[in-house]
Amino acid sequence: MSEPILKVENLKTQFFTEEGTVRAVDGISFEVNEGELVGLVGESGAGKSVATSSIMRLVEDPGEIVGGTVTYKGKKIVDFEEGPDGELRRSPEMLSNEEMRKQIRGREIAIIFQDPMEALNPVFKVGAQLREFIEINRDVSSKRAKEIAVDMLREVGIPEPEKRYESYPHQFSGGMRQRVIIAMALACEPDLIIADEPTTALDVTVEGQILDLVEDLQQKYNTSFVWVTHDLGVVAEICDRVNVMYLGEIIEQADVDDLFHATRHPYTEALLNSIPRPDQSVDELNPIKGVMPEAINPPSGCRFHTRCPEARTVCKEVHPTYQDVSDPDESSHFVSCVKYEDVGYDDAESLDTEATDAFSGGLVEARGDGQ
Amino acid sequence: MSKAMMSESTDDIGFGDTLLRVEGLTKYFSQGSGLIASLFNDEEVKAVDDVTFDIAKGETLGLVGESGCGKSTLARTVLRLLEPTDGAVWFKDDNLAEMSGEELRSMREDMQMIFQDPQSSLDPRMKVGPIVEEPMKAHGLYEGEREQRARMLLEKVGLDPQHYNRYPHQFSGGQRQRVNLARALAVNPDFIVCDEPTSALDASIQAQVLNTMRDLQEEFGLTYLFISHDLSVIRHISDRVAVMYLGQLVELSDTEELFENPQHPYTRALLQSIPVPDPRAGGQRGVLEGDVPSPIDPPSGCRFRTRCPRLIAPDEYDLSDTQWDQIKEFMRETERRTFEADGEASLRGEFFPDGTPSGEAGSIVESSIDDVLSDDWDAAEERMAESFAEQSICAKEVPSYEVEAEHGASRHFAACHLHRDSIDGSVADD
Repeated sequence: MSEPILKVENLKTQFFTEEGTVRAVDGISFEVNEGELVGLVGESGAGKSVATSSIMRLVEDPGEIVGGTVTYKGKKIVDFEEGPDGELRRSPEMLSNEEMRKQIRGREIAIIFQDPMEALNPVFKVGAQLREFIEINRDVSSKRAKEIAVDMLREVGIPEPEKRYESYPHQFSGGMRQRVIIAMALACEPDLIIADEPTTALDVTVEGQILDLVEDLQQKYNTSFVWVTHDLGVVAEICDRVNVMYLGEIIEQADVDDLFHATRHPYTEALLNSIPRPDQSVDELNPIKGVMPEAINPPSGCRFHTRCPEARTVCKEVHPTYQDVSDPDESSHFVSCVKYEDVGYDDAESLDTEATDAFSGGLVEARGDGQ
Repeated sequence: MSKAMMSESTDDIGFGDTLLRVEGLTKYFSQGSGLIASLFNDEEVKAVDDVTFDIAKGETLGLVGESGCGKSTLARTVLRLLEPTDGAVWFKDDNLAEMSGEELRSMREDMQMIFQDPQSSLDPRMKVGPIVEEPMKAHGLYEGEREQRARMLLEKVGLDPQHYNRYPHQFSGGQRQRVNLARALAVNPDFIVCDEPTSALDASIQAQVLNTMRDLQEEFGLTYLFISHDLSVIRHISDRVAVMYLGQLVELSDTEELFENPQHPYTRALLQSIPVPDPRAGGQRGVLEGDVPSPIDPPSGCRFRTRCPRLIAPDEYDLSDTQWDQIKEFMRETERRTFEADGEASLRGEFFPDGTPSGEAGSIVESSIDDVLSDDWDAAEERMAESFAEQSICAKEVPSYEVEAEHGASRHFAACHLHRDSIDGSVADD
C-alpha cells in the first residue's frame, strides 16, 4: 500500500482550565489512506471533535496542541521535537498558521460541521459565499468561480442551482444546507474531508440522502474522509476502517467488519450491546454502567476500568499498550486492553466496580461531587 | 417504604382497556399574530390534521415521524397544553378538549409529560428534592410525607436519595432526565407523554434510561405515549407504533408487525433509511427523494403522494408499470428541476429510452417534453400535475384502510390506496 495521505502519531491536545489540565486528546495515532473513509467514533466527551480540530489546527484557547506529529502528504501539520532542556517544542518543519491557512485548509483538507447553519453566514447569499470561497482558494476569476459554484451545487443535488445560487441560507431546508456545505467542501477539490457529525442533526430519510451523496462523490473524486460520529449505524454503513475513542484515547481500531464481528475491546463490545436495534427486537438493553468520568481526572490504569464488566485488579494499575493483535495474515486490528498483554490479567482478581457488581441502582456517582 | 404510598390508582379501568382515546384531533396554527395578521392572513399551518388513535392502560404507544411532522404538537394538544382546533380527547370518561380550566388542572394529576432537554426543564435554582415535590404541592397531595416520597422516587428512578439536596447542574444529562422522571411520577399519574426523552443522551446512557422507564412502567402501571424520531428506540420501547407524516397518521399497528410487515410506502422508506449497526446487514438504502411539502397547503388525498415511490397510475390511461414509472420520474424531476434540458435526444434517452407511450398519456408527455426543451418548465410541470398526479386516486381520496396483521393481535391501520382491493394491494412486492 502506498504512503497514507494523513498520518497522526501520538497527538496530544490539552486544555488548561482553572480546575486543572484536561487531557482531551491523549496520544492518539491513526492513518488515512487515499480514498479511504475512516471513522472516529465515541460518546460525547471522548475527544472526537478536539482530535479533528487539532488536525486542522483549529484548537482555541485554553486548548493547546502539546505533542505528537500530524503528517499530511509529507507536510508537518503538527510536529514537536525535544528542545535542549528536554522540553517539547514546535519543530521548524511544523507549518506556520499562515501556511496552514493558505496551503492546507480548504484546498487540501476541508471540514464539514454538524450544524450547517453555523457554517453559513445568514446575511449573505449562499452563492456568494460559495463563490468567494472558491475565488480565494483556487485563484480563479469571479466569473469562473461562479460557474464552478453553480456546477458544485448541481453536483450535490440542489435543484435549479442557478436560481438557488441567489438564495439565503434560511431559505434552504436542513438537508439542503448540508448539501451546500458539502458543495463548499468539495469545491476546491480537497484530497481529505473531515466530517464532524455531518448527519447528526438531520432526519433519517435526509441522512440517507446525504450518505448516498457522499458515497457517490467519494467514488467520483476518490476523496479520503475522516468521519466523526457517535452513531454506530452510520459507521457500519459507510466506513472502511474505524477508530473507537474513549476518554481521549483510541482504544480500538479495525476494519469495519472486524470491529462489529470480531470485537476485541470490552468498551466497543459494551457499546454495541447497549444500542437498541432497528432490525431486530431486543428484550432488555445492556447499558454500560456508570457515567463517563471527567477527562480532568481520568481513572488510573485503563481508563475504562471503572465501567468495564471484565475489570480485574490489574486494570487499575497497568496502563494498557495500544498494539496490533491481529493474526499475521489478517488486516491490522489495534486494541488497548490488558487482556491481550502479558501483565497478569488472567491471575488477577476481579475488581469491584459498578459494572462488575450486580445491578445496584446505577448512577449514584454524580458530577462535581458535592458531598 | 410502604407499597401503599406509591401505587394503587383509584380508577376502575383494567389493564388492556382503553385509557385514552383521541378522535379526529386537529390543530391549526394561524401565521403571524395581532389583529392585522388575523384579518388578512388566513393561511393556516395544518400541524395536526384529523388524527385518531387510542391507548390501552399499561401500554406504550410509540409515535414516530420526521421533524416537523407534528409529533410534538400532537402530544401537547392531547394534554391540552395547546387548544385543539377540532376533535376530542377522551381520558377515562372525560373529554379533555371540552374541559374548563379548573377541571383540567385537577385532571393533570393523572397526566404528566417529560421533555427532550433535561436541562431546560429543571429550574437551575431549585434543589432536586423540592423540584420533585413541586407537583405534589400543586395538587395538594401527600401533605406531610412529601420529602419522604420525593426521596423514595429518587431512589426508584435510580438516583441516590441523598441527592435530595443537590442542584440540577451537579447531575449529568442522563441523571437529570431521571430527575424529570421522578417529578413526573410525583403525583402518581396514570399516563405520561414522553417527548423524545432520550434523544439528547449518549447511546450507553440512553439504554440505562430506557430500561428504567420500562421498570417504572411495570411497577407503577404506567401508560406511555412515547415520541421519538429514532426508530430503534421506538422498536425497543413500544407495544404499538403510530407513524406520522405531515400532520396525519399513515400507519398504526403492533410493533413487530410494523417493523416486519410495514404496509405504507412511507413507513417502508423510513425503515430502509435507518443505518443498521452491522456492516453485514447489506441492503440498500431506500432513499426518499425531495423534501416534505409545506403543511400550509398539504397535498390533497394522501399527503405522501408527492414523494411516494408507489404512486398509483390514473385509471383513465392504459399504461404498463414501466411506462408509468417513467412518466412519474419525468414528472417529478421536472417539478424539482433536477436535470438540464440540453438536447432532445439526451432527455428522451434519460427518461424514455424505449419511446413515449402511445395514446393520450403519450401526447401529454410529448407536449411536456416540448415545453421543457423550450425552457417553459412551469407549463410542463402544470400540465403533467393536472393530467397525471391530480388524476390518481392518491390525490382524489383520503386513504384509510385496515389490513390483515401477520404479527400480533392488534388492528393494522394503513393509510394507503394500494390496499383498496386488499388482494393485490400488498406493498411488500417492490
